Amino acid sequence: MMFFFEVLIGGLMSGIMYALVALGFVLIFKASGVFNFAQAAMVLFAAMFMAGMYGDWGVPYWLAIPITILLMIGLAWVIERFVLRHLVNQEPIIMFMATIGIFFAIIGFAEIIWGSRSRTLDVGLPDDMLFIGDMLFQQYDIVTALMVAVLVVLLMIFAQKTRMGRVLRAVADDHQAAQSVGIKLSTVWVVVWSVAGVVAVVAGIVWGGSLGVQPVMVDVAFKALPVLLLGGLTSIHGAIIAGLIIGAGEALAEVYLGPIIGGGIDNWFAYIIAMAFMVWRPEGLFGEKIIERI
Amino acid sequence: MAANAADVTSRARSSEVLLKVEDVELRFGGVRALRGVSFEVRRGEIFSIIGPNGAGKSSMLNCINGFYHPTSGTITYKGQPRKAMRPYVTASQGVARTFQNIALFKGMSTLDNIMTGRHLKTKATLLENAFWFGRAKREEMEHRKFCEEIIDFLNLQHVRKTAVGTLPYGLQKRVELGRALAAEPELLLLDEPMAGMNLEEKQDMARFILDVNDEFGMTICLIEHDMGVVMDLSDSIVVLDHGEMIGQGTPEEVSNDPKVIEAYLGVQEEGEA
Repeated sequence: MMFFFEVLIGGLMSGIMYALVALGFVLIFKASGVFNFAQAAMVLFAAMFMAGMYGDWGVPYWLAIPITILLMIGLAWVIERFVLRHLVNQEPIIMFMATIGIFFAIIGFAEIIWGSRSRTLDVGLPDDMLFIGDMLFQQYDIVTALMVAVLVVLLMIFAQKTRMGRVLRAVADDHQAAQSVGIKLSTVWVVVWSVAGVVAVVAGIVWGGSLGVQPVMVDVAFKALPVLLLGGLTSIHGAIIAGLIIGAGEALAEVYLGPIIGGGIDNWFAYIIAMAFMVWRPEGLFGEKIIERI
Repeated sequence: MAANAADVTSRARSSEVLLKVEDVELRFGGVRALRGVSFEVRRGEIFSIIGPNGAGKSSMLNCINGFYHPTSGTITYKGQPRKAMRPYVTASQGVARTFQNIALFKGMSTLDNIMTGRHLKTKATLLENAFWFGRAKREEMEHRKFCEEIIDFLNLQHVRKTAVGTLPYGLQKRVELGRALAAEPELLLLDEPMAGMNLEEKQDMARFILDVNDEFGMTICLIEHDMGVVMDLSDSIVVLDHGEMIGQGTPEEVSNDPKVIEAYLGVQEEGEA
């Protein structure tokens, strides 16, 4: 039984990490109705800059992290100025395609500067074993979970307790109408992409710390997709809960189903969970119901 | 400029020109949606733009609102000529609008939709909002109260909390009007406010438009197909056809203008006969 709980908790912890990437998707989807394919690339981009600045230039992390945050804000501005601004009132699919372009562009940019070799990223998060009672925990996991909890609380205040929440929903619903009531789309987008960028920095620190920084990190970051679909595209707490469900589900499946149907389950099991839930609730667990009068 | 005159008494249709459109041309590639359109909207009046389908009415409204930018010609609002105006800037200058095919935030309730109209009236900073102190809370209460008054005014009490996507068409149009009113605009642009409505809904809407004009002295510029309604409501009318102005004046003048009758009324009368 103890083993079961250890597996479960390990799974929940990796679920939190998926949720961290999913959060970035949720923020941008809330604000523009756009599925931002580039979110995973933003995580890699942030991680590469932090690891690169430390490794190649000897910039200490306490400086590299704020610089990277500023860089993400700059990136948000560039993306708004040169891509999004020109796509106002376009179909969501057009904006989605544009984010695929952004995905490859920012990975390419980061690779030009830092190359594609893998690096380590260790900002000094504690990483020891910790026993609580008889159970074994990783300190790293606990610190991560706390960081995510703080981040989620801040984001929920931002999106739900402020007027910004209503503005975001308005922009996501209808660009034209939002403009007509005086909402400045460009500002909203820069703010939201910046916040998503900061989330990407946190995700980059956490992911980079446990997996190392390498281009293949993007593939793992896409584990956020089933999390996102399960939680609902517009729900911040949905992303967290879905992350926990998927993390725990795939860890348990790997351990208990793995020996029966062969290993490697965790590559696809998350998608099976997400699909099963979506048949039952197409808008995800906490997503907004799509309202359409026919 | 005269436009700044502060002595405009409550509502009476003054001689002050609020909006002046001069020789506006709008081209999309080879298509000339508007050609040499000029008119003046006076403060406090109900001004209508009419014309058959494809006459360029919505294009004209979009130019005023800043969604389109005229290829040539000038639009002067409150004495200031403007070129290449962005919609949110127009909104901040006191122009609110509704859309022909209803652009509401479908997932939000009636109240929330109308609240978005208060966007520009909110002064609290993001930080104040985030921690819900100082102005943020007080402002939210004030706006809420204002919006409840609009809801009462438009008889929308029974759907206050309903997601607007589920409301019948006529009510959605009314919510959209409410959102525009929430901005307390000086100039209200209505793009076919009665399109697709039944007779009763049309009468309701006409009454709301008159009340808005009467009680708040709001200047209204509307586009409409329904000739009867326009004739009853408007102080002055401009008639467009194929992007050109073919008539202008009071409802009586316009309905007696042979060119207008030929281009527009005549066709309709034949159809009805």
